Amino acid sequence: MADDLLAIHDLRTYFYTEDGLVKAVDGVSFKIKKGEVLGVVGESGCGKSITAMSILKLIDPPGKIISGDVIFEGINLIELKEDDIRKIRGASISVIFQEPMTSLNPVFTIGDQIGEAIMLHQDLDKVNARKKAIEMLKTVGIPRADEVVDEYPHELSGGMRQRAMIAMAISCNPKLLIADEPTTALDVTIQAQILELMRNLKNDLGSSVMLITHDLGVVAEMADYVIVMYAGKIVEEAEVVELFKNAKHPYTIGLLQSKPVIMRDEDRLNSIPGQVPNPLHMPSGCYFHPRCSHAMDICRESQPELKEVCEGHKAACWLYEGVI
Amino acid sequence: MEAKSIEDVRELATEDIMSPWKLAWRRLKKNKLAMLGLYILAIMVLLSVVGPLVSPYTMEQMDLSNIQSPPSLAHPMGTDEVGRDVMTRLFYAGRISLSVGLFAVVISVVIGSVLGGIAGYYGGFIDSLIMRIVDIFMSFPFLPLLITIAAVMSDWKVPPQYRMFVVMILIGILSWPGLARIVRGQILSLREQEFMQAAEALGIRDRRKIFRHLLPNTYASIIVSATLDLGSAILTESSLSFLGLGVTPPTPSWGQMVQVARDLYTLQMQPWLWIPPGICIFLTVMAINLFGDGLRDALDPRLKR
Ligand SMILES: Nc1ncnc2c1ncn2[C@@H]1O[C@H](COP(=O)(O)OP(=O)(O)O)[C@@H](O)[C@H]1O
Ligand code: SF4
Ligand SMILES: [Mg+2]
Repeated sequence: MADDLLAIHDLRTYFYTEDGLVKAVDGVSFKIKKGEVLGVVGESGCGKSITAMSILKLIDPPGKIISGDVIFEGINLIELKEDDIRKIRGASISVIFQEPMTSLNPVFTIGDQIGEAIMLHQDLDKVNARKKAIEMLKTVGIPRADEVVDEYPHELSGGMRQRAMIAMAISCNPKLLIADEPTTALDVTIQAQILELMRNLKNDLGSSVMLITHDLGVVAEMADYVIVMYAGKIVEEAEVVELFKNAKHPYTIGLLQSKPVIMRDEDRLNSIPGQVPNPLHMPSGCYFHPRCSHAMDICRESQPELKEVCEGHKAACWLYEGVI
Repeated sequence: MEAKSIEDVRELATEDIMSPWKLAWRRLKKNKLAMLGLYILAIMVLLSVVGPLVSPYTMEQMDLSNIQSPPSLAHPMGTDEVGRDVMTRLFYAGRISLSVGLFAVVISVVIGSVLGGIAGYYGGFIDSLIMRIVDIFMSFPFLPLLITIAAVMSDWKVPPQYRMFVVMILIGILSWPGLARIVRGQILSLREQEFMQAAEALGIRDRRKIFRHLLPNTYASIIVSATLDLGSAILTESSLSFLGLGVTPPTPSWGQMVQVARDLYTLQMQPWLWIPPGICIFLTVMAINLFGDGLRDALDPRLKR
């Protein structure tokens, strides 16, 4: 389709650990349209980050991308050689990580780190890369940009560091920005500012965004389309309004109900009873059945497939088998 | 500007945070022994560099009418068996001993950090290979090898000024494994840090990741280890030269100057020939160790933040 920027088909990324096989991403398919914000939600450990890293083939052993296609602008990234995909990393697809405290190298100045990507992908020399870095710092709303450019990460606050990370990520005008829990490590006021910044930048640049979070509040604010992941699989997907109004999968419903109003930084997702299954010993049938209050016999025996349950809304749950 | 909030207040508060190096220097300055070491070392370097320039004698200048004379005004440390000024030779010897030590350490740092960096970054087979080489070097009988090489050099009549370089290179080549281990260990944990994942997501090449992103994070331990290695390199050079296996006459080094004490008569009757170089070796190595220990404490990551 002409307006799909990225199409992932049946992606599987497994980890061959000493204790056994971990199917971190197990047959995930989705698309991101041009200019769209895709929200990816799920409890910690459900495979969100590994899905994102698989797009850029940033999986280190014992992990391995077993199968799947990642079609980005008509090219299958999975088939690219290391040298070729390196040209895409940080250029047409860039990543913002969760921890602004640790995702900047402590021995480099902010300017050097931003300049690194610029020099690499835009063929600018040091002087011009520095100019561009200052410009980017201004774009992301960092005051005193021409001083901050020469400062080290430890001299900046968490919020400022995350802004610097964003400056680095957008410095080469990426077509797809992957933001892996970009605000999770920040306090609430700063969170709101960073989200605001990302929304503005996205509109200015016209980039698509893959926004990974376990915070449904963030998804509601930012996303156009949402996929919900559980234990390496997509269990539900729909447009954001539809999903919030009309959630189908018991897991999604659980997530929505456990969204607290006041204590924003509590471990809210744990309020679904039970725990995320041990990736080495997945339950039979529907992976969610030990925690599901609607579980039926069939749920323990065989796995439901992701199917359309009403128009533009898919879920993987036996409750909706045969509704369409 | 939407950033005019808590952020700005925080910015002000963090403004006077110091860089890690400044912080370390501040801690170091408080350590009296380390500073004593630094001063002694500075004096030794100064004497070796400036001494020969201001001395009225040259290194080889002989005064056969005035041999083996005890300290006097004209020769504050006396003269040797061919009438050369001991103090002037001591300055020159300092140049040799210090630079042999320094170059040996430079060689060992270059080999050690490159190999350690590669081993730590790639892990797996490459790591095992490099670390087995390290094991071999560490269990290698150092002295017999040097004795053999010294014998071969004498056999081939290698001129003294070249033997000095051979000694440098040998000490360097034999002392990199310790540093390689330290660097490897640090890189191993550093490469798992999120900032390396971020570097990878920018499309940076391996070589740049190792040498620009990872190694600079280990500079503190490289510097500490190199400083302490400098002490042992100087000591090794002295021992070798004392045994006649290192720097050979007429080139002086501190160890080589002490060699005269092997003669019982000199040992007893002409202490001005061997006590000064002996003290120089002792003071320098001790100063380096005091400073190195202080540096280690000052840069200790466990004390940081
Ligand atoms: N290096 C690794 N070795 C083994 N298992 C891993 C590794 N990295 C991730 N995993 C597994 O992959 C699963 C998904 O992880 P991840 O994508 O990071 O989750 P999240 O949704 O919190 O981002 C986890 O269950 C984890 O056990
Ligand atoms: S398939 Fe069964 S166990 Fe799984 S979510 Fe649906 S009802 Fe619950
Ligand atoms: Mg994650």
